[in-house]
Amino acid sequence: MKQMTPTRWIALSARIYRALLVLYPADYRREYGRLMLQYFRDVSCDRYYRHGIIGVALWWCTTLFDLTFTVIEQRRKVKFTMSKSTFAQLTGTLLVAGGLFGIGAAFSQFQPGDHSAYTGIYQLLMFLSVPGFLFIGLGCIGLGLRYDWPLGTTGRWILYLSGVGALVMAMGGVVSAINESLWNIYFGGGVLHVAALIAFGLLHVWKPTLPIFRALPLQLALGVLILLLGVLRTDSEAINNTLSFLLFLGMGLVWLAIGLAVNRQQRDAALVAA
Amino acid sequence: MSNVVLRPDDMLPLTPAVFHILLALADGEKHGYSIMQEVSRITNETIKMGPGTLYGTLKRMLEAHLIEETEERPDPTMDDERRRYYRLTAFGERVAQAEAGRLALLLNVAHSKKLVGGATA
Repeated sequence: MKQMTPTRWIALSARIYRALLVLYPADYRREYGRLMLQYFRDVSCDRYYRHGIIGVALWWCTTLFDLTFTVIEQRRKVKFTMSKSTFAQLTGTLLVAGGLFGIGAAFSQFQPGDHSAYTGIYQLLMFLSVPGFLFIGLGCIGLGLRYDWPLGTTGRWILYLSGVGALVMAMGGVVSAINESLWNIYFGGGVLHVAALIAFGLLHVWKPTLPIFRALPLQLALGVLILLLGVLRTDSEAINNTLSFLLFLGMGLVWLAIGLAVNRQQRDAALVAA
Repeated sequence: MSNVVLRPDDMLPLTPAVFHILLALADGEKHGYSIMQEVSRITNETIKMGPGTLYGTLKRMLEAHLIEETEERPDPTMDDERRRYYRLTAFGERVAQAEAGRLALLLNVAHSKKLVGGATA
């Protein structure tokens, strides 16, 4: 039987490793496959000349462990990153839509008389807050995903909670239209949304993620809080309605502005990348 | 996201693989294999990174702007053109300094509790 030379051993070893690279995602393999193969070959040569065939065998043990864990890691990352980036890219648009629906809903506050129930065109306008909070909730979650690293774990989870609160509000808006006694769901969602927004607003002032809108989340949070608590109720119905309108309008405009800023950042980043 | 403010402290603590690579690149640009040789040298050959770990970590570090690829070659006549060289960015250097400072503080505590330089009673 013909004895294999060191060069042939290493060449065979590298061929086997190259075949195993097919386990990695295609994009990753295209970017790093050749470099990984070269690195594998370099270390194989080094191990062979220092420790002989045992050295190459031990290097294979390290490589197989490494391959198992990093293939899983890269495959999971591809799956998650794709869904995450698609969603994060929609963040600005979601917030713009949420802001526009919020602005539309603001006009419901001009309903004359009692506001415990909305009627006619005002009911229709008020119902715009349902898609409004739906988009704002998704937008908050999108912001958390989009700015995950600078926000850190705390900022991210506060935004997620705020988003969940807004989603509960949207759901509460629908179910309370069917059964008024379920209005508490809307209120509970509102409390969660506002509390989380206040926390995020404070965090954002201290550690800005959107530098051009440093204090806006705090303003927004305070506005929503005032709206929910009804702090600004006066004896004059006209004043009350106008204040409520302004608060709703302010909320809508702030989300619209944040959404536009996120979209502008995304456009700038795309231009830089191009 | 050019407007996002990144601070070195936001990146801490670093994983051992990231910190070892930052240390290996601290004295100049290197390609994958020479990074591994330097990591082996500074860790008395206790750290052995497989190809997936090394390039997976380099990829993450590139995305985090801790390192960058360089077109320059230390000595083009002595080297394979297909190799890819990496060097620290200014941000990567600040992150490495911040992590080294963090570890130095911990080491001081370990010294004060007599956990360094011999077995405890």
